[in-house]
Amino acid sequence: MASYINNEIKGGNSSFKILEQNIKNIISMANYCFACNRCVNVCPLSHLDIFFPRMLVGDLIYSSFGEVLTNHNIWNCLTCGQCTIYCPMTQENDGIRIPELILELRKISRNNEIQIDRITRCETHNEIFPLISKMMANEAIIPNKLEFLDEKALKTAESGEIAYFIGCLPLMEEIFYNLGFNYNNIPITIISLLNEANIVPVVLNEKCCGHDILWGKGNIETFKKFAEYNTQLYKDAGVKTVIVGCAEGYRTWKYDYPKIVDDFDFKVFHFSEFFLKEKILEHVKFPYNSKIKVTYHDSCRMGRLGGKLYNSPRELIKQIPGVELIEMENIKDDANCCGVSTFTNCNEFTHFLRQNRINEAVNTGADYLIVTCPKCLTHFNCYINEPSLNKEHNELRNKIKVVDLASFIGKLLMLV
Amino acid sequence: MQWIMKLFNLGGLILLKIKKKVKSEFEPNILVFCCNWCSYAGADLAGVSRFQYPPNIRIIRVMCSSRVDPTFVLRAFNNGIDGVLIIGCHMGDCHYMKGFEYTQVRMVHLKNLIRYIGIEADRFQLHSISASEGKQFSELIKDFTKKIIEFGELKIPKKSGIFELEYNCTKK
Repeated sequence: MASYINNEIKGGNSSFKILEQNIKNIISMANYCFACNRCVNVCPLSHLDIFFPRMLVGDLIYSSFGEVLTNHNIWNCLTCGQCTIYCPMTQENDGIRIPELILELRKISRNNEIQIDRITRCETHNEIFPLISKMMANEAIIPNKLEFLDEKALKTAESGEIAYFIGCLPLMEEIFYNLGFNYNNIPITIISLLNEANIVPVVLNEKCCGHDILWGKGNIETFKKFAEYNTQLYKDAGVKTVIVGCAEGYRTWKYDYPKIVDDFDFKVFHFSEFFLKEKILEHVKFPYNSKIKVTYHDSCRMGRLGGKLYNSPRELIKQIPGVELIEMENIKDDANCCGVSTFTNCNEFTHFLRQNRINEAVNTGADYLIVTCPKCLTHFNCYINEPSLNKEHNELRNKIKVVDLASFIGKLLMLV
Repeated sequence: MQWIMKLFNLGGLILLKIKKKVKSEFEPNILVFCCNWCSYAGADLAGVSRFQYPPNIRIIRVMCSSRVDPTFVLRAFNNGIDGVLIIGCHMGDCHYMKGFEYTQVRMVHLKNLIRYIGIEADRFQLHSISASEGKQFSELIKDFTKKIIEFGELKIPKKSGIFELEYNCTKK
Protein backbone atom coordinates (compact mmCIF):
# COMPACT_ATOMS: atom_id res chain seq x y z
CA MET A 1 0.00 0.00 0.00
CA ALA A 2 2.78 2.39 0.94
CA SER A 3 4.48 1.90 -2.39
CA TYR A 4 1.21 2.59 -4.12
CA ILE A 5 0.81 5.93 -2.39
CA ASN A 6 4.42 6.83 -3.20
CA ASN A 7 3.75 6.21 -6.87
CA GLU A 8 0.91 8.67 -6.73
CA ILE A 9 3.11 11.36 -5.21
CA LYS A 10 5.85 10.87 -7.79
CA GLY A 11 3.26 11.34 -10.51
CA GLY A 12 2.86 14.93 -9.36
CA ASN A 13 -0.65 14.66 -7.94
CA SER A 14 -1.27 17.13 -5.18
CA SER A 15 -4.28 15.19 -3.95
CA PHE A 16 -2.40 13.26 -1.28
CA LYS A 17 -4.72 14.31 1.53
CA ILE A 18 -7.77 13.19 -0.36
CA LEU A 19 -6.03 9.93 -1.18
CA GLU A 20 -5.25 9.17 2.44
CA GLN A 21 -8.83 9.84 3.45
CA ASN A 22 -10.13 7.68 0.61
CA ILE A 23 -7.94 4.77 1.66
CA LYS A 24 -9.15 5.09 5.25
CA ASN A 25 -12.74 5.07 4.00
CA ILE A 26 -12.15 1.97 1.91
CA ILE A 27 -10.50 -0.04 4.66
CA SER A 28 -13.04 0.98 7.27
CA MET A 29 -15.81 -0.09 4.91
CA ALA A 30 -14.12 -3.38 4.05
CA ASN A 31 -13.68 -4.29 7.71
CA TYR A 32 -17.45 -4.61 8.10
CA CYS A 33 -17.59 -7.64 5.79
CA PHE A 34 -19.04 -10.84 7.24
CA ALA A 35 -17.83 -12.97 4.32
CA CYS A 36 -21.32 -14.44 4.03
CA ASN A 37 -21.12 -14.54 0.22
CA ARG A 38 -24.62 -13.16 -0.28
CA CYS A 39 -23.39 -10.41 -2.60
CA VAL A 40 -21.78 -12.95 -4.92
CA ASN A 41 -25.05 -14.89 -5.12
CA VAL A 42 -26.90 -11.76 -6.19
CA CYS A 43 -24.35 -9.96 -8.36
CA PRO A 44 -25.32 -10.28 -12.05
CA LEU A 45 -21.64 -10.28 -13.06
CA SER A 46 -20.60 -13.08 -10.70
CA HIS A 47 -22.89 -15.43 -12.64
CA LEU A 48 -20.89 -14.55 -15.73
CA ASP A 49 -17.55 -15.14 -13.94
CA ILE A 50 -16.28 -11.58 -14.32
CA PHE A 51 -16.48 -9.96 -10.94
CA PHE A 52 -16.79 -11.20 -7.36
CA PRO A 53 -17.55 -8.54 -4.76
CA ARG A 54 -16.76 -10.63 -1.67
CA MET A 55 -13.37 -11.73 -2.99
CA LEU A 56 -12.50 -8.09 -3.65
CA VAL A 57 -13.47 -7.05 -0.13
CA GLY A 58 -11.63 -10.01 1.37
CA ASP A 59 -8.47 -9.13 -0.52
CA LEU A 60 -8.77 -5.52 0.60
CA ILE A 61 -8.50 -6.69 4.19
CA TYR A 62 -5.79 -9.31 3.84
CA SER A 63 -3.49 -8.17 1.02
CA SER A 64 -1.93 -4.97 -0.30
CA PHE A 65 -3.66 -2.39 -2.43
CA GLY A 66 -1.44 -3.01 -5.44
CA GLU A 67 -2.27 -6.72 -5.44
CA VAL A 68 -5.98 -6.04 -5.12
CA LEU A 69 -5.99 -3.68 -8.06
CA THR A 70 -4.04 -6.04 -10.30
CA ASN A 71 -6.07 -9.15 -9.37
CA HIS A 72 -9.53 -7.59 -9.59
CA ASN A 73 -10.82 -5.49 -12.45
CA ILE A 74 -12.79 -2.83 -10.60
CA TRP A 75 -13.87 -1.23 -13.88
CA ASN A 76 -16.09 -4.24 -14.63
CA CYS A 77 -18.49 -3.52 -11.77
CA LEU A 78 -21.82 -2.09 -12.92
CA THR A 79 -22.42 -0.30 -9.59
CA CYS A 80 -26.03 -1.44 -9.87
CA GLY A 81 -26.33 -1.92 -6.12
CA GLN A 82 -27.99 -5.35 -6.14
CA CYS A 83 -25.51 -6.43 -3.46
CA THR A 84 -26.48 -3.63 -1.10
CA ILE A 85 -29.99 -5.03 -0.76
CA TYR A 86 -28.95 -8.45 0.50
CA CYS A 87 -25.78 -7.52 2.39
CA PRO A 88 -26.50 -7.75 6.13
CA MET A 89 -23.90 -5.08 6.86
CA THR A 90 -25.34 -2.36 4.62
CA GLN A 91 -26.89 0.59 6.38
CA GLU A 92 -27.69 4.06 5.17
CA ASN A 93 -24.65 5.95 6.39
CA ASP A 94 -22.64 3.17 7.91
CA GLY A 95 -21.42 -0.31 7.08
CA ILE A 96 -20.20 -1.60 3.74
CA ARG A 97 -21.79 -0.29 0.58
CA ILE A 98 -20.06 -1.93 -2.37
CA PRO A 99 -20.96 0.62 -5.11
CA GLU A 100 -19.46 3.40 -3.02
CA LEU A 101 -16.45 1.25 -2.18
CA ILE A 102 -15.89 0.74 -5.90
CA LEU A 103 -16.28 4.47 -6.47
CA GLU A 104 -13.61 5.23 -3.86
CA LEU A 105 -11.30 2.66 -5.44
CA ARG A 106 -11.85 4.23 -8.85
CA LYS A 107 -11.10 7.69 -7.50
CA ILE A 108 -7.75 6.50 -6.20
CA SER A 109 -6.62 4.30 -9.03
CA ARG A 110 -7.58 6.23 -12.14
CA ASN A 111 -4.06 7.63 -12.60
CA ASN A 112 -2.35 4.28 -12.09
CA GLU A 113 -0.64 2.99 -15.23
CA ILE A 114 -2.03 -0.53 -15.06
CA GLN A 115 -5.52 0.83 -14.55
CA ILE A 116 -5.36 3.29 -17.46
CA ASP A 117 -5.00 0.35 -19.80
CA ARG A 118 -8.08 -1.27 -18.30
CA ILE A 119 -10.09 1.95 -18.46
CA THR A 120 -9.41 2.37 -22.18
CA ARG A 121 -10.38 -1.24 -22.74
CA CYS A 122 -13.87 -0.76 -21.30
CA GLU A 123 -14.53 2.45 -23.22
CA THR A 124 -17.56 2.64 -25.50
CA HIS A 125 -18.64 5.02 -28.27
CA ASN A 126 -14.99 6.04 -28.77
CA GLU A 127 -14.89 7.92 -25.45
CA ILE A 128 -17.35 10.53 -26.68
CA PHE A 129 -19.00 11.15 -23.31
CA PRO A 130 -15.84 11.65 -21.24
CA LEU A 131 -14.53 13.87 -24.04
CA ILE A 132 -17.62 16.07 -23.97
CA SER A 133 -17.48 16.44 -20.21
CA LYS A 134 -13.75 17.22 -20.32
CA MET A 135 -14.46 20.00 -22.83
CA MET A 136 -17.41 21.31 -20.83
CA ALA A 137 -15.35 21.41 -17.64
CA ASN A 138 -13.38 24.38 -19.02
CA GLU A 139 -14.51 27.56 -17.34
CA ALA A 140 -14.60 29.62 -20.53
CA ILE A 141 -17.02 27.30 -22.31
CA ILE A 142 -20.70 27.95 -21.75
CA PRO A 143 -23.06 25.38 -23.25
CA ASN A 144 -25.79 26.46 -25.60
CA LYS A 145 -28.30 23.65 -25.86
CA LEU A 146 -31.75 25.16 -25.52
CA GLU A 147 -32.32 25.77 -29.23
CA PHE A 148 -34.92 23.04 -29.54
CA LEU A 149 -37.22 24.90 -27.15
CA ASP A 150 -37.53 27.86 -29.52
CA GLU A 151 -39.66 25.93 -32.00
CA LYS A 152 -42.31 25.07 -29.43
CA ALA A 153 -44.35 27.75 -27.70
CA LEU A 154 -43.17 26.95 -24.18
CA LYS A 155 -42.93 29.36 -21.29
CA THR A 156 -39.60 29.32 -19.51
CA ALA A 157 -38.12 31.86 -17.13
CA GLU A 158 -34.59 32.95 -16.33
CA SER A 159 -35.18 33.44 -12.64
CA GLY A 160 -37.70 32.01 -10.24
CA GLU A 161 -38.20 29.46 -7.50
CA ILE A 162 -38.74 26.25 -9.47
CA ALA A 163 -36.16 25.03 -11.96
CA TYR A 164 -36.14 22.12 -14.37
CA PHE A 165 -32.78 20.46 -15.00
CA ILE A 166 -32.56 19.21 -18.59
CA GLY A 167 -29.12 17.66 -18.40
CA CYS A 168 -27.52 16.00 -21.38
CA LEU A 169 -30.69 15.01 -23.26
CA PRO A 170 -30.18 17.39 -26.25
CA LEU A 171 -26.61 16.08 -26.59
CA MET A 172 -27.81 12.48 -26.55
CA GLU A 173 -30.33 13.35 -29.24
CA GLU A 174 -27.45 14.23 -31.58
CA ILE A 175 -25.24 11.29 -30.61
CA PHE A 176 -27.86 8.53 -30.85
CA TYR A 177 -29.72 9.90 -33.86
CA ASN A 178 -29.94 6.43 -35.44
CA LEU A 179 -31.81 4.70 -32.59
CA GLY A 180 -35.15 6.12 -33.65
CA PHE A 181 -35.97 7.74 -30.32
CA ASN A 182 -36.43 11.47 -29.83
CA TYR A 183 -34.80 12.43 -26.53
CA ASN A 184 -35.97 16.03 -26.74
CA ASN A 185 -39.56 14.83 -26.27
CA ILE A 186 -38.81 14.33 -22.57
CA PRO A 187 -38.06 17.98 -21.66
CA ILE A 188 -40.76 19.27 -24.02
CA THR A 189 -43.54 17.26 -22.33
CA ILE A 190 -42.35 18.03 -18.82
CA ILE A 191 -42.15 21.77 -19.46
CA SER A 192 -45.48 21.92 -21.26
CA LEU A 193 -47.24 19.95 -18.50
CA LEU A 194 -45.74 22.30 -15.92
CA ASN A 195 -46.98 25.23 -17.98
CA GLU A 196 -50.49 23.82 -17.95
CA ALA A 197 -50.43 23.92 -14.15
CA ASN A 198 -49.37 27.58 -14.34
CA ILE A 199 -45.81 26.87 -13.32
CA VAL A 200 -43.13 28.60 -15.36
CA PRO A 201 -39.92 26.66 -14.71
CA VAL A 202 -36.46 28.16 -14.81
CA VAL A 203 -34.55 26.54 -17.66
CA LEU A 204 -30.91 27.51 -17.96
CA ASN A 205 -27.87 26.48 -19.95
CA GLU A 206 -26.40 24.26 -17.27
CA LYS A 207 -23.45 21.92 -17.75
CA CYS A 208 -23.48 18.12 -17.38
CA CYS A 209 -24.46 16.84 -13.97
CA GLY A 210 -21.15 14.95 -13.94
CA HIS A 211 -22.57 11.53 -13.09
CA ASP A 212 -20.70 9.65 -15.80
CA ILE A 213 -17.32 11.16 -15.17
CA LEU A 214 -17.64 10.42 -11.47
CA TRP A 215 -18.92 6.84 -11.54
CA GLY A 216 -17.37 5.71 -14.79
CA LYS A 217 -13.97 7.38 -14.48
CA GLY A 218 -13.66 8.28 -10.81
CA ASN A 219 -12.70 11.79 -11.84
CA ILE A 220 -13.65 13.75 -8.75
CA GLU A 221 -12.04 17.06 -9.81
CA THR A 222 -14.12 17.65 -12.92
CA PHE A 223 -17.19 16.43 -11.06
CA LYS A 224 -16.54 19.09 -8.44
CA LYS A 225 -16.28 21.75 -11.15
CA PHE A 226 -19.66 20.72 -12.60
CA ALA A 227 -21.30 20.63 -9.18
CA GLU A 228 -20.05 24.08 -8.24
CA TYR A 229 -20.98 25.60 -11.61
CA ASN A 230 -24.52 24.20 -11.64
CA THR A 231 -25.36 25.05 -8.05
CA GLN A 232 -23.94 28.56 -8.44
CA LEU A 233 -26.00 29.05 -11.61
CA TYR A 234 -29.19 28.10 -9.81
CA LYS A 235 -28.33 30.15 -6.74
CA ASP A 236 -27.92 33.25 -8.90
CA ALA A 237 -31.32 32.61 -10.46
CA GLY A 238 -32.94 32.36 -7.03
CA VAL A 239 -33.96 28.74 -7.40
CA LYS A 240 -35.18 26.76 -4.39
CA THR A 241 -36.60 23.53 -5.82
CA VAL A 242 -35.04 21.56 -8.65
CA ILE A 243 -37.04 19.14 -10.80
CA VAL A 244 -34.95 16.49 -12.53
CA GLY A 245 -36.21 14.44 -15.45
CA CYS A 246 -33.78 11.53 -15.41
CA ALA A 247 -32.75 8.95 -12.85
CA GLU A 248 -29.03 9.66 -12.86
CA GLY A 249 -29.45 13.40 -12.58
CA TYR A 250 -31.81 12.79 -9.68
CA ARG A 251 -29.26 10.68 -7.85
CA THR A 252 -26.41 13.16 -8.37
CA TRP A 253 -28.47 16.19 -7.41
CA LYS A 254 -29.97 14.60 -4.35
CA TYR A 255 -27.11 12.56 -2.91
CA ASP A 256 -23.79 13.49 -4.52
CA TYR A 257 -23.95 17.28 -4.76
CA PRO A 258 -24.70 17.91 -1.05
CA LYS A 259 -21.52 15.99 -0.15
CA ILE A 260 -19.33 18.19 -2.35
CA VAL A 261 -20.94 21.63 -2.43
CA ASP A 262 -20.68 23.53 0.86
CA ASP A 263 -24.02 25.28 1.31
CA PHE A 264 -26.44 23.17 -0.65
CA ASP A 265 -30.04 24.07 0.11
CA PHE A 266 -32.17 22.95 -2.83
CA LYS A 267 -35.15 20.65 -2.63
CA VAL A 268 -34.70 18.01 -5.31
CA PHE A 269 -37.65 16.19 -6.89
CA HIS A 270 -37.92 13.64 -9.63
CA PHE A 271 -40.54 14.86 -12.05
CA SER A 272 -42.91 12.01 -11.14
CA GLU A 273 -42.69 12.99 -7.49
CA PHE A 274 -43.37 16.62 -8.32
CA PHE A 275 -46.30 15.81 -10.61
CA LEU A 276 -47.94 13.74 -7.87
CA LYS A 277 -47.32 16.44 -5.28
CA GLU A 278 -48.83 19.21 -7.42
CA LYS A 279 -51.57 16.89 -8.84
CA ILE A 280 -50.75 17.94 -12.36
CA LEU A 281 -52.02 14.89 -14.24
CA GLU A 282 -55.34 14.86 -12.41
CA HIS A 283 -56.38 18.11 -14.07
CA VAL A 284 -55.30 17.04 -17.53
CA LYS A 285 -57.85 15.47 -19.86
CA PHE A 286 -56.54 12.68 -22.06
CA PRO A 287 -58.01 12.80 -25.57
CA TYR A 288 -58.97 9.11 -25.77
CA ASN A 289 -59.04 6.05 -23.54
CA SER A 290 -57.15 3.42 -25.48
CA LYS A 291 -56.29 0.22 -23.68
CA ILE A 292 -52.53 -0.16 -23.44
CA LYS A 293 -50.58 -2.76 -21.52
CA VAL A 294 -47.42 -1.47 -19.93
CA THR A 295 -44.56 -2.68 -17.73
CA TYR A 296 -42.15 -0.58 -15.74
CA HIS A 297 -38.40 -1.08 -15.34
CA ASP A 298 -36.82 0.21 -12.12
CA SER A 299 -33.47 1.82 -12.76
CA CYS A 300 -30.73 1.46 -10.19
CA ARG A 301 -30.04 5.17 -9.80
CA MET A 302 -33.64 5.91 -8.81
CA GLY A 303 -34.17 2.71 -6.84
CA ARG A 304 -31.43 1.07 -4.90
CA LEU A 305 -28.97 3.97 -5.09
CA GLY A 306 -31.45 6.84 -5.20
CA GLY A 307 -33.61 6.66 -2.11
CA LYS A 308 -35.85 3.80 -3.33
CA LEU A 309 -38.21 5.89 -5.40
CA TYR A 310 -40.39 3.01 -6.58
CA ASN A 311 -43.96 4.14 -6.04
CA SER A 312 -44.20 7.59 -7.59
CA PRO A 313 -43.61 6.56 -11.25
CA ARG A 314 -46.04 3.65 -10.81
CA GLU A 315 -48.72 5.91 -9.37
CA LEU A 316 -48.16 8.35 -12.21
CA ILE A 317 -48.70 5.53 -14.71
CA LYS A 318 -51.89 4.49 -12.90
CA GLN A 319 -53.26 8.03 -13.23
CA ILE A 320 -53.31 7.69 -17.03
CA PRO A 321 -56.77 6.38 -18.03
CA GLY A 322 -56.86 3.11 -19.93
CA VAL A 323 -53.30 2.12 -19.15
CA GLU A 324 -52.81 -1.21 -17.41
CA LEU A 325 -49.57 -1.78 -15.50
CA ILE A 326 -48.33 -5.39 -15.50
CA GLU A 327 -45.37 -6.06 -13.26
CA MET A 328 -42.36 -8.11 -14.31
CA GLU A 329 -40.89 -11.00 -12.31
CA ASN A 330 -38.15 -9.00 -10.65
CA ILE A 331 -39.20 -5.54 -9.54
CA LYS A 332 -38.28 -2.82 -7.09
CA ASP A 333 -35.32 -3.95 -4.95
CA ASP A 334 -34.74 -7.07 -7.04
CA ALA A 335 -35.02 -5.38 -10.43
CA ASN A 336 -32.38 -6.63 -12.82
CA CYS A 337 -29.83 -4.22 -14.20
CA CYS A 338 -30.11 -2.99 -17.79
CA GLY A 339 -26.53 -4.14 -18.25
CA VAL A 340 -24.51 -1.02 -18.86
CA SER A 341 -23.91 1.89 -16.57
CA THR A 342 -22.17 5.20 -17.32
CA PHE A 343 -21.55 4.18 -20.94
CA THR A 344 -18.73 1.79 -20.08
CA ASN A 345 -18.35 -1.92 -20.68
CA CYS A 346 -20.62 -2.67 -23.60
CA ASN A 347 -19.69 -6.26 -24.45
CA GLU A 348 -21.21 -9.71 -24.87
CA PHE A 349 -21.70 -10.14 -21.12
CA THR A 350 -23.74 -6.99 -20.72
CA HIS A 351 -25.53 -7.93 -23.92
CA PHE A 352 -26.65 -11.07 -22.11
CA LEU A 353 -27.97 -9.02 -19.17
CA ARG A 354 -30.00 -6.82 -21.52
CA GLN A 355 -31.37 -9.91 -23.22
CA ASN A 356 -32.54 -11.25 -19.86
CA ARG A 357 -34.36 -8.08 -18.93
CA ILE A 358 -36.03 -7.63 -22.31
CA ASN A 359 -37.21 -11.25 -22.27
CA GLU A 360 -38.74 -10.66 -18.86
CA ALA A 361 -40.58 -7.68 -20.25
CA VAL A 362 -41.79 -9.57 -23.31
CA ASN A 363 -43.09 -12.43 -21.15
CA THR A 364 -45.53 -10.09 -19.40
CA GLY A 365 -47.31 -9.55 -22.70
CA ALA A 366 -47.05 -5.77 -22.49
CA ASP A 367 -46.80 -3.49 -25.53
CA TYR A 368 -44.57 -0.89 -23.93
CA LEU A 369 -41.63 -1.06 -21.56
CA ILE A 370 -41.49 2.19 -19.63
CA VAL A 371 -38.20 3.39 -18.18
CA THR A 372 -37.19 6.60 -16.44
CA CYS A 373 -33.46 6.52 -17.11
CA PRO A 374 -32.12 7.74 -20.50
CA LYS A 375 -29.35 5.15 -20.35
CA CYS A 376 -31.69 2.22 -19.88
CA LEU A 377 -33.62 3.71 -22.78
CA THR A 378 -30.63 3.78 -25.13
CA HIS A 379 -29.36 0.36 -24.16
CA PHE A 380 -32.71 -1.39 -24.52
CA ASN A 381 -33.45 0.41 -27.78
CA CYS A 382 -29.98 -0.47 -29.06
CA TYR A 383 -30.56 -4.13 -28.20
CA ILE A 384 -33.97 -4.23 -29.84
CA ASN A 385 -32.90 -2.50 -33.06
CA GLU A 386 -29.74 -4.58 -33.42
CA PRO A 387 -29.59 -6.52 -36.68
CA SER A 388 -28.95 -10.21 -36.05
CA LEU A 389 -29.21 -13.61 -37.70
CA ASN A 390 -31.61 -14.84 -35.04
CA LYS A 391 -35.25 -14.63 -36.18
CA GLU A 392 -36.69 -14.26 -32.69
CA HIS A 393 -34.39 -11.36 -32.00
CA ASN A 394 -35.53 -9.59 -35.12
CA GLU A 395 -39.18 -9.97 -34.12
CA LEU A 396 -38.58 -8.19 -30.80
CA ARG A 397 -39.11 -4.87 -32.57
CA ASN A 398 -42.76 -5.72 -33.20
CA LYS A 399 -43.35 -7.24 -29.77
CA ILE A 400 -42.28 -4.46 -27.45
CA LYS A 401 -41.36 -0.79 -27.58
CA VAL A 402 -39.11 0.92 -25.07
CA VAL A 403 -40.19 4.44 -24.14
CA ASP A 404 -39.48 7.00 -21.49
CA LEU A 405 -42.24 7.78 -18.98
CA ALA A 406 -42.39 11.49 -19.83
CA SER A 407 -42.39 11.03 -23.59
CA PHE A 408 -45.03 8.27 -23.23
CA ILE A 409 -47.35 10.71 -21.49
CA GLY A 410 -46.48 13.36 -24.08
CA LYS A 411 -47.39 11.06 -26.95
CA LEU A 412 -50.76 10.21 -25.36
CA LEU A 413 -51.52 13.90 -24.85
CA MET A 414 -50.35 14.76 -28.38
CA LEU A 415 -47.81 17.21 -26.98
CA VAL A 416 -44.97 15.91 -29.12
CA MET B 1 31.24 39.01 -12.35
CA GLN B 2 28.70 36.26 -12.04
CA TRP B 3 25.86 38.51 -11.05
CA ILE B 4 26.63 40.76 -13.98
CA MET B 5 26.41 37.75 -16.27
CA LYS B 6 23.10 36.84 -14.64
CA LEU B 7 21.81 40.34 -15.30
CA PHE B 8 22.79 40.05 -18.94
CA ASN B 9 21.05 36.73 -19.18
CA LEU B 10 17.90 38.14 -17.65
CA GLY B 11 18.03 41.05 -20.05
CA GLY B 12 18.28 38.61 -22.91
CA LEU B 13 15.25 36.75 -21.68
CA ILE B 14 13.21 39.92 -21.38
CA LEU B 15 14.22 40.95 -24.89
CA LEU B 16 13.14 37.58 -26.21
CA LYS B 17 9.80 37.95 -24.50
CA ILE B 18 9.28 41.38 -26.05
CA LYS B 19 10.15 40.02 -29.46
CA LYS B 20 7.62 37.24 -29.00
CA LYS B 21 4.95 39.72 -28.02
CA VAL B 22 5.59 41.77 -31.14
CA LYS B 23 5.39 38.65 -33.23
CA SER B 24 2.26 37.26 -31.63
CA GLU B 25 -0.42 37.80 -34.18
CA PHE B 26 -2.84 34.96 -33.84
CA GLU B 27 -1.69 31.95 -35.85
CA PRO B 28 -4.46 29.36 -35.78
CA ASN B 29 -3.84 25.63 -35.76
CA ILE B 30 -6.10 23.97 -38.30
CA LEU B 31 -6.59 20.28 -38.86
CA VAL B 32 -7.75 18.98 -42.25
CA PHE B 33 -8.99 15.47 -42.96
CA CYS B 34 -8.66 14.67 -46.67
CA CYS B 35 -9.98 11.62 -48.44
CA ASN B 36 -7.34 9.68 -50.33
CA TRP B 37 -9.06 9.57 -53.72
CA CYS B 38 -10.38 13.08 -54.31
CA SER B 39 -9.44 15.85 -51.93
CA TYR B 40 -5.94 14.66 -51.08
CA ALA B 41 -5.17 14.51 -54.79
CA GLY B 42 -6.70 18.00 -55.03
CA ALA B 43 -4.34 19.23 -52.31
CA ASP B 44 -1.49 17.57 -54.18
CA LEU B 45 -2.46 19.37 -57.35
CA ALA B 46 -2.57 22.69 -55.46
CA GLY B 47 0.98 22.03 -54.34
CA VAL B 48 2.26 20.94 -57.74
CA SER B 49 0.73 23.87 -59.57
CA ARG B 50 1.99 26.28 -56.84
CA PHE B 51 -1.28 27.81 -55.69
CA GLN B 52 -0.47 29.63 -52.46
CA TYR B 53 -2.34 28.87 -49.24
CA PRO B 54 -1.65 29.68 -45.57
CA PRO B 55 0.73 27.32 -43.75
CA ASN B 56 -1.51 26.92 -40.69
CA ILE B 57 -3.06 23.66 -41.82
CA ARG B 58 -1.95 20.10 -41.19
CA ILE B 59 -3.46 17.44 -43.43
CA ILE B 60 -4.35 13.94 -42.26
CA ARG B 61 -5.02 11.56 -45.12
CA VAL B 62 -7.83 9.06 -44.61
CA MET B 63 -8.97 6.47 -47.11
CA CYS B 64 -12.51 7.79 -47.09
CA SER B 65 -14.05 10.81 -45.39
CA SER B 66 -16.48 8.48 -43.62
CA ARG B 67 -13.50 7.07 -41.72
CA VAL B 68 -13.52 10.24 -39.63
CA ASP B 69 -15.29 9.47 -36.39
CA PRO B 70 -17.08 12.39 -34.64
CA THR B 71 -14.79 11.84 -31.67
CA PHE B 72 -11.72 12.61 -33.80
CA VAL B 73 -13.04 16.13 -34.27
CA LEU B 74 -13.96 16.54 -30.62
CA ARG B 75 -10.57 15.22 -29.55
CA ALA B 76 -8.86 17.73 -31.83
CA PHE B 77 -10.78 20.59 -30.23
CA ASN B 78 -10.02 19.22 -26.78
CA ASN B 79 -6.30 19.25 -27.56
CA GLY B 80 -6.45 22.89 -28.60
CA ILE B 81 -6.95 22.88 -32.37
CA ASP B 82 -8.80 26.01 -33.47
CA GLY B 83 -10.57 24.70 -36.53
CA VAL B 84 -11.29 21.37 -38.20
CA LEU B 85 -12.07 20.79 -41.88
CA ILE B 86 -13.30 17.55 -43.37
CA ILE B 87 -12.96 17.42 -47.14
CA GLY B 88 -14.47 14.60 -49.13
CA CYS B 89 -15.56 13.87 -52.68
CA HIS B 90 -18.43 15.45 -54.56
CA MET B 91 -21.79 13.73 -54.22
CA GLY B 92 -21.83 10.54 -56.28
CA ASP B 93 -18.09 10.57 -56.92
CA CYS B 94 -17.15 8.48 -53.90
CA HIS B 95 -14.66 5.71 -54.54
CA TYR B 96 -16.64 3.51 -52.14
CA MET B 97 -20.05 4.35 -53.64
CA LYS B 98 -21.80 5.80 -50.54
CA GLY B 99 -19.03 6.96 -48.23
CA PHE B 100 -19.58 10.69 -48.47
CA GLU B 101 -23.31 10.30 -47.87
CA TYR B 102 -22.60 8.62 -44.56
CA THR B 103 -20.27 11.44 -43.51
CA GLN B 104 -22.84 14.06 -44.41
CA VAL B 105 -25.46 12.49 -42.14
CA ARG B 106 -22.95 12.08 -39.31
CA MET B 107 -21.50 15.54 -39.54
CA VAL B 108 -24.82 17.38 -39.50
CA HIS B 109 -25.40 15.87 -36.07
CA LEU B 110 -21.82 16.54 -35.02
CA LYS B 111 -22.17 20.20 -35.93
CA ASN B 112 -25.22 20.51 -33.67
CA LEU B 113 -23.35 18.71 -30.92
CA ILE B 114 -20.42 21.13 -31.14
CA ARG B 115 -22.79 24.08 -30.92
CA TYR B 116 -24.53 22.58 -27.89
CA ILE B 117 -21.23 22.07 -26.11
CA GLY B 118 -20.52 25.78 -26.52
CA ILE B 119 -18.05 26.05 -29.39
CA GLU B 120 -18.83 28.12 -32.50
CA ALA B 121 -20.27 25.64 -34.98
CA ASP B 122 -18.44 27.20 -37.94
CA ARG B 123 -15.09 26.16 -36.53
CA PHE B 124 -15.94 22.79 -38.00
CA GLN B 125 -16.87 22.54 -41.68
CA LEU B 126 -17.51 19.86 -44.25
CA HIS B 127 -16.61 20.48 -47.91
CA SER B 128 -16.14 18.48 -51.04
CA ILE B 129 -13.28 18.91 -53.51
CA SER B 130 -12.37 16.70 -56.43
CA ALA B 131 -8.92 15.66 -57.62
CA SER B 132 -8.82 18.32 -60.34
CA GLU B 133 -9.75 21.30 -58.15
CA GLY B 134 -6.37 22.53 -56.90
CA LYS B 135 -7.34 26.17 -57.19
CA GLN B 136 -10.54 25.66 -55.22
CA PHE B 137 -8.59 23.85 -52.49
CA SER B 138 -6.23 26.77 -51.93
CA GLU B 139 -9.12 29.24 -51.90
CA LEU B 140 -11.07 27.12 -49.44
CA ILE B 141 -8.11 27.01 -47.07
CA LYS B 142 -7.61 30.79 -47.40
CA ASP B 143 -11.28 31.49 -46.58
CA PHE B 144 -11.34 29.05 -43.68
CA THR B 145 -8.20 30.43 -42.01
CA LYS B 146 -9.59 33.95 -42.38
CA LYS B 147 -12.76 32.85 -40.64
CA ILE B 148 -10.87 31.14 -37.83
CA ILE B 149 -8.71 34.24 -37.30
CA GLU B 150 -11.95 36.26 -37.02
CA PHE B 151 -13.25 33.85 -34.37
CA GLY B 152 -9.99 34.11 -32.47
CA GLU B 153 -8.37 31.55 -30.26
CA LEU B 154 -10.45 28.64 -28.95
CA LYS B 155 -11.21 29.03 -25.26
CA ILE B 156 -9.98 25.56 -24.41
CA PRO B 157 -6.44 25.76 -22.99
CA LYS B 158 -3.82 24.55 -25.43
CA LYS B 159 -1.42 21.74 -24.81
CA SER B 160 2.16 22.66 -25.67
CA GLY B 161 3.35 21.37 -29.02
CA ILE B 162 0.07 19.97 -30.26
CA PHE B 163 1.47 18.79 -33.52
CA GLU B 164 4.30 16.95 -31.80
CA LEU B 165 1.84 15.15 -29.56
CA GLU B 166 1.25 12.41 -32.09
CA TYR B 167 4.94 11.52 -32.27
CA ASN B 168 5.08 11.09 -28.50
CA CYS B 169 2.13 8.74 -28.65
CA THR B 170 3.71 6.56 -31.30
CA LYS B 171 7.02 6.36 -29.42
CA LYS B 172 5.30 4.74 -26.45
